[in-house]
Amino acid sequence: MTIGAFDLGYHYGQTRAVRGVSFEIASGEVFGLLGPNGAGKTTILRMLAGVIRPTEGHAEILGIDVAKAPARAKRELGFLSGDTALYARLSALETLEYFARLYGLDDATRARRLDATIHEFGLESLLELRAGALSSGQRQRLNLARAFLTDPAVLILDEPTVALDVVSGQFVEKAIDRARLAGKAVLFSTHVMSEVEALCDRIALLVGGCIADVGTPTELIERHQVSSLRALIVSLHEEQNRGA
Amino acid sequence: MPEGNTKGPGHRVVGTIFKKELVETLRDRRTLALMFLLPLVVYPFLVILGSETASMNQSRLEAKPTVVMVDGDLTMATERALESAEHILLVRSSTAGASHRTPKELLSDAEIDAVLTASTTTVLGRSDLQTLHLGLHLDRTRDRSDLAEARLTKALEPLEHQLRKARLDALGLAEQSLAPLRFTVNSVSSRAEMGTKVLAQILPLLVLFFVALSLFYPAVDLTAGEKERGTLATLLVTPVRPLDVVLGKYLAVLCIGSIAAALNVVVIGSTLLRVLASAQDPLGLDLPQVSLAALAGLLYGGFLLAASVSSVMLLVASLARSFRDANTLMTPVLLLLLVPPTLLSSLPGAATPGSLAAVPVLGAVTLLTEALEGTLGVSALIVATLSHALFSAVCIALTTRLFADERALFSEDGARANWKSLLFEPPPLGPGAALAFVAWLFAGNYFVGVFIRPGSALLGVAVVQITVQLIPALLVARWLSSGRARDPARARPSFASVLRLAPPTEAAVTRGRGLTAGALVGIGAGLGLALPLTWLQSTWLAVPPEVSGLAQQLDLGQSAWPALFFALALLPAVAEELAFRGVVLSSLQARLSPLSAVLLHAVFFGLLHASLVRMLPTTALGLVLGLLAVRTRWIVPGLLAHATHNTLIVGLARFAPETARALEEPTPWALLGAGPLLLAAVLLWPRPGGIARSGST
Repeated sequence: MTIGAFDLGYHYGQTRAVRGVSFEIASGEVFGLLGPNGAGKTTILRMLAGVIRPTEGHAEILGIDVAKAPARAKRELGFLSGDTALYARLSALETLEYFARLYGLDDATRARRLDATIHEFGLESLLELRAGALSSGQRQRLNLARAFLTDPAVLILDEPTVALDVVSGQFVEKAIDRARLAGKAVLFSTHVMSEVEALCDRIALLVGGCIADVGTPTELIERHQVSSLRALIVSLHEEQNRGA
Repeated sequence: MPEGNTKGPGHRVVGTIFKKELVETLRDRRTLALMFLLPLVVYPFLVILGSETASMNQSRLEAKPTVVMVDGDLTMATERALESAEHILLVRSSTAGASHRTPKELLSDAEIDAVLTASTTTVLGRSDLQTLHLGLHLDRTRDRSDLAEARLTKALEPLEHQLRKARLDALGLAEQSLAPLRFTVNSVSSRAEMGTKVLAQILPLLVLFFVALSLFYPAVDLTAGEKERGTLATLLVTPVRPLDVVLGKYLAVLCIGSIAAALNVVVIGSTLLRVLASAQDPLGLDLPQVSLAALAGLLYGGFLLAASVSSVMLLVASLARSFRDANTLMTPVLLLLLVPPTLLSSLPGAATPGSLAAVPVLGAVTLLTEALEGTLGVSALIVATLSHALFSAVCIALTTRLFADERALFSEDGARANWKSLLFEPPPLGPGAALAFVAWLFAGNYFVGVFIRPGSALLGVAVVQITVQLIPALLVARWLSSGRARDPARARPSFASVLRLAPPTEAAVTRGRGLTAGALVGIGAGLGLALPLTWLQSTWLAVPPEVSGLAQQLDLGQSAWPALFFALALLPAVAEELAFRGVVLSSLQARLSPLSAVLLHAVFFGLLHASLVRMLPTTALGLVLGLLAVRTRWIVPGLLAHATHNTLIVGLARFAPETARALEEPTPWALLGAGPLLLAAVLLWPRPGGIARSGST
């Protein structure tokens, strides 16, 4: 088990955003979180990434309790969301250098990882440009490079292709596929069904802060006797609204 | 697993963040403009433009003759003197057709600068002795009135003198014979000193203003700006500690603030000097001399100013979610920073008292003033340094709490929720809580001591012990143990465990042993620690008279014994044990090893006695009492030791002052204390098979 959510819950004030969420993800597995807006996807990913602390249950990265040892857990993971921004007044190279240093990579490792990442994400021509001057596609490429920089065993991606054009979206998909082949555990949330079908080994369907079902896309479609994942999400959502 | 070595020490991370924040901030044109353009170009330009406009205006005024309307008859001599004077134009009231009008009415004509009424009286009924009465009437609301006065005085004073001398000669009298009393006014300050005073009034305020202005944008940009742009989320998924992030940001803002302060001191200072130089004649001032020592004092004061303003601005800006939010929050802070120093320097008679050195920001401004006036003392420097360091540390600790709390970073209801979480949720036990409480003790001791002065010194000691240490220690322990822990890894301590109230059920040291050791420590420390150490340090440190006079101040000889025992032995023992062995030591012990916690807390204990002379003995006492508390895990043995120690010292001074003095000398008697201390150590020594580490939690 590489990523583990154990009965995770989060509430603020009277609002209960997430309740009783449990799943485990193995190395080399791409796991998708699927659900309508407000279903709690971002909250779950943030708890697993150690950005917010669960109010119930706990999260583990490589067996490390994220709330108890956030720094150690964060060292093992790369996190990217559609809205994590970069420093507009730093160049692409400075951005990567900065984050490599924050992860405490020693000089030799840092140089090697920078070279590899720059090559892998095709950033050679952008290195001297400031992040503020990059297009949104280029910026997300740089951001993706930042998340992959330390070659982490775990990747948590929150709607990484949101607001990207087809070409840039394709680039992100390929990066996720390479990560799977490299034996990393990838957890990502998305609205794009084609991504789910192309990439996910398993998915969790999230409705109203709870997991409605977990399985491979084919299993889920068969089990709920629907024509597509899209139809499944819509019907689950309507079911929940009727119940509420 | 990520490859390579990924363990980064904290200071390197702080350095990385500091460097990046500085680079990024300096790449921002708004910061650069406020930091460099304003002090280096705009300010001198405006001041020089202003002073040149003023002097041009002055020349324009001086070029025009003063029109004086004469109402009445002048003597020949007077008329000649006025007509031959430069820049005076006489107009007759009859020619202007202005008779029967009052001077005020005459002055309503804008062309007339002054009205001179003239009338003649005879003296002693002798027609050959006459006095000409000249009344000069001015409208003080007009720019030209001062000039008119100066010009007429210049024309008439020599004449007055000359005529008086002629009359005395005619009467056969010497000039001195008319002066049974002569009253003269002399200023002992040189014109240069007067110039320094003007500079010392203006410069510190301007430096404060520009430092606050140049820090405003970076502080907001690095906190609320990061939240608004979404880069903070990116930073927080990296394995950096909140404290490292805040320290890196603080150092970057401090760096900018210090540069701004230094630039402003130099540029505004030299600009003001230039203006003073060009205006020295009308003001009666000379160019102040700014020595190198004064310059060093100014730069250091500027640094302290930058340090305190940076920390408070970073804290307030961290509460905001966006730039707009930050602007709303920062405006009252700016006012709070700027208004008190301005009021203090402009209120008549508000000479800045030395105690202001301890007030953050205000103390730094005072330091700048004193550096210029050449009155800056070492003690003010130390007090200001300590208080500003403490203030900044508290602000940084609070900011770190905000950065460690996701609700402050991601909650949607903005600053208000942050205030609540910041103010009402107790921090976890740790060095941060200890430092904050020690900061309170310092500030409380200082200000309660300064502002509350009850009838007797003994009562004063009791009031400080109760209001600063005893009650706050109980309240803080209650607060620290209240509420639900945000961090599931760390449960809240109980009230009793913070204050070590409950006798331990399974400690390495039994209750009986603990109490015996406590009594022994009290006797041993009283005889064998405080007095010999006081003697030891008296060999290199002269005891100032106000400290040795403390005994008289406390009325040891006169006060009733129960009152002495209560105020100087029992109460301090209870209050200081709860505050230091309770709140401070427990907080430190939650995160540090028992030994480093005891050492650090002993240093605080020594420092809090706020006297160079008492520091060594009190630190040593703190060390011993701390070890006692850690070993017995119970407050009562320390309380017993502390009370016994104080009773011994006070009792000796009261009933056997000769013996007390004798004990301060290196006599074999001093060795008396070593015995009980050794015995206590044996009682407390870890027994084989006992619990080796005695950390409380």
